[in-house]
Amino acid sequence: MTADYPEWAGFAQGPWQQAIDVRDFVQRNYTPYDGDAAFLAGPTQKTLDVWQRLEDNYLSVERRNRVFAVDTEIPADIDAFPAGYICKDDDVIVGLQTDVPLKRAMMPFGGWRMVETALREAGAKPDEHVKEIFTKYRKTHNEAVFDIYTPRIRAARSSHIITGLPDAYGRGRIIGDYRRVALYGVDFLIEEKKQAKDAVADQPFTEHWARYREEHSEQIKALQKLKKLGEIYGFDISRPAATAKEAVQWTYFGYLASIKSQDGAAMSIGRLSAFLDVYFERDLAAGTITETDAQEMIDALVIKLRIVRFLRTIDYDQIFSGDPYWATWSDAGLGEDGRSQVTKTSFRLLQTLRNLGPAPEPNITVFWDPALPQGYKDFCAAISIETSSLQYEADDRIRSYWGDDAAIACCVSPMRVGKQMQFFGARMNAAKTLLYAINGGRDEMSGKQIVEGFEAVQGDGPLDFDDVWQRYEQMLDWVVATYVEALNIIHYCHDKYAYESIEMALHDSEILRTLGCGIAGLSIVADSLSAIRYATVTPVRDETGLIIDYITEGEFPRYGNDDDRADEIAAVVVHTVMEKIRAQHLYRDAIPTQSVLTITSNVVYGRATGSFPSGHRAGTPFAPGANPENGADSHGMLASMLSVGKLDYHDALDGISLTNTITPAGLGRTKDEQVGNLVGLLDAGFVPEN
Amino acid sequence: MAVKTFAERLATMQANREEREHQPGLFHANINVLNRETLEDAMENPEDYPNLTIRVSGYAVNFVKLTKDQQRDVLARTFHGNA
Repeated sequence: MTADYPEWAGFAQGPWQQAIDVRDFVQRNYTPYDGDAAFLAGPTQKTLDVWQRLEDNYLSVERRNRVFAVDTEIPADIDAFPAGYICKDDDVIVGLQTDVPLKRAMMPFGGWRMVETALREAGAKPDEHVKEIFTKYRKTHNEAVFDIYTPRIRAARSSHIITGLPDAYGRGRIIGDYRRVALYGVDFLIEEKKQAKDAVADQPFTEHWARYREEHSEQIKALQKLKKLGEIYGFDISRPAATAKEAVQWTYFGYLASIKSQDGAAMSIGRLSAFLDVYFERDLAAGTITETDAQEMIDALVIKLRIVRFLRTIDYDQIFSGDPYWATWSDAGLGEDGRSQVTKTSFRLLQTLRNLGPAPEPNITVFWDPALPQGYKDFCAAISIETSSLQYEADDRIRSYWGDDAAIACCVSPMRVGKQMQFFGARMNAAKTLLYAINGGRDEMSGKQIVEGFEAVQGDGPLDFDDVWQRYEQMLDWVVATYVEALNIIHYCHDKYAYESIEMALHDSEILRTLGCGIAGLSIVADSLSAIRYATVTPVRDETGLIIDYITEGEFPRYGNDDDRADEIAAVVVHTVMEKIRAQHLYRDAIPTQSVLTITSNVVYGRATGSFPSGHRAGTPFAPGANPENGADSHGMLASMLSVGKLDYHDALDGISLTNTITPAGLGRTKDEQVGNLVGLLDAGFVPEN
Repeated sequence: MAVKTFAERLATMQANREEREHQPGLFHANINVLNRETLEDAMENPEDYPNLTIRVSGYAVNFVKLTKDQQRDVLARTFHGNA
């Protein structure tokens, strides 16, 4: 396909005009910016009015009632609701998930039970007809998964050795390339999908090609609905965006279609700054907009991203606390040609945190490298100090594995935008697995035999490190195999019953799939194995012989203090789990990956897990992600960062998460000193050899 | 699946790293710049902190929207007093 639209006037030409290739468009057209924040504009009166109206009429009510409103009659879809506005005259960028801000919609394809529970908890009741459809006529993802689950998966799930599986809610972790809507217009995208579908028309029947063609049909139908969504708001998005304002609006329509039809655990928006910046630069050069206009558009988009809402249960809130939806917006980093990908729009995005005040969404994610422009690094640090709202990811790691047009889904999961998706896998309890290894598969909390065929440690003498390690390896075999089997079942069912048509329509036809497994409790395993190796650990049994506690005598090194003896154990655990995941058969030829991340399930995991040789007490929260145990990292923030940095990204391609808090006084006395020190910490933490 | 000794795992991990010329370094950092007292006060007086945002793990959250258990968990974490 070759096209040359009038909307592309002034853009550098290239292969992006022959086939969908947003990266090529960005690389040929973007303008790196290496200055400071002085050019930025404050909020316009319109921005402040809209934000105030939201606060007064909607957000303050929601804070009191947990849920502002729910729709009980219309199952959500891209074109299901009429147009809605925050303030019709002042909405610079338009479009809501339903017809009223913050009103939540039913998304029953993931599972009906979740919808009904969430409605009840919000004080509402579902329409009887809708309920009848989803309990009598239309099977859901949740129902399908439980039709297939095996006894051992059910046992592992109920004993909390595997938790948070996306078997009753949308999996998320798929980023549609929403920029395609603006660059090409929807008609071009539909035509491309039709051609891809027909290109395999002569293939003899196999399940693979049948599914391929059926999924393409679903994608084409979703794109047609996306076009209708534009019409509902008075726009013709069949053609490319002609201005910066249209580019922001078209891109947002793509994202809006996704969050109208899917409530995946993480609905990330991708990597937009350099792309939108091309349109801003063109309009600024033509004199059709000012810096204030550009900032107003980014503020308006960010306002929309702050009011995304899904119908969730109170139980769900235990794993994903505080109502997050991960509208993760990835930014910065270096290109493969070495140029910085920081643009003025990277600054405009951060500026929203000043213009509108701090907020958790969008989840602003900076791809950090010491070689980023100093002005940008300083501005990031200043915003972090003011708002504690930013996260940072290692640009060189992501670029070397996934290229320079990758974005984060959720927290730490990198993927090439529009070319890759993840089968989200929640996580297994690596710490509890150690206790199962010692107790021969008996649960230390309930006393129940969960895993058959394993012997518990015998006798009352001290634990032997090599013996415990052997048992841990064997128990990991059982847990990993059970876990991955559950994930294969879940994603098979999700593809079948809750397929993400619009998100996948904004992907290439042939994509890379990863399976994102995860572990919780790494610091506890590392410290416990270190205690067994370097101190003397004696088990304490209850009257049934179950080991329920440990007496640990002597000193032992703890993970988190830049001490190789403990840090090495943590790294070997991550490596070992990954080797075991790699040995499994994966659904749809997915690439196996692992994350060391817990979201907020660290509290739930802790509650369901017993005491450890490290001194970690039964029922208390795990440290989050790959963090050292709370309080154990006593040698300062950099030592903590260096320890976590010894875990090998190659063994955890889905990401390794560290959450750190430093006091303002710990960073320095003056604001300038604090900014300088935080930049230094990030540089040294991400690239210690630099 | 293969069961190996710790020494064997360590050896294969190290060999693997050497082959790739692996360099250490963080993959991800959530950075909070906060005093514990601020969070304690927000627990006591949530109405005064509607927009207090923290990085809880791979996401940011309005601190007052966390459950009490999760707020206590955040307070129990390490607050580094120096870099």
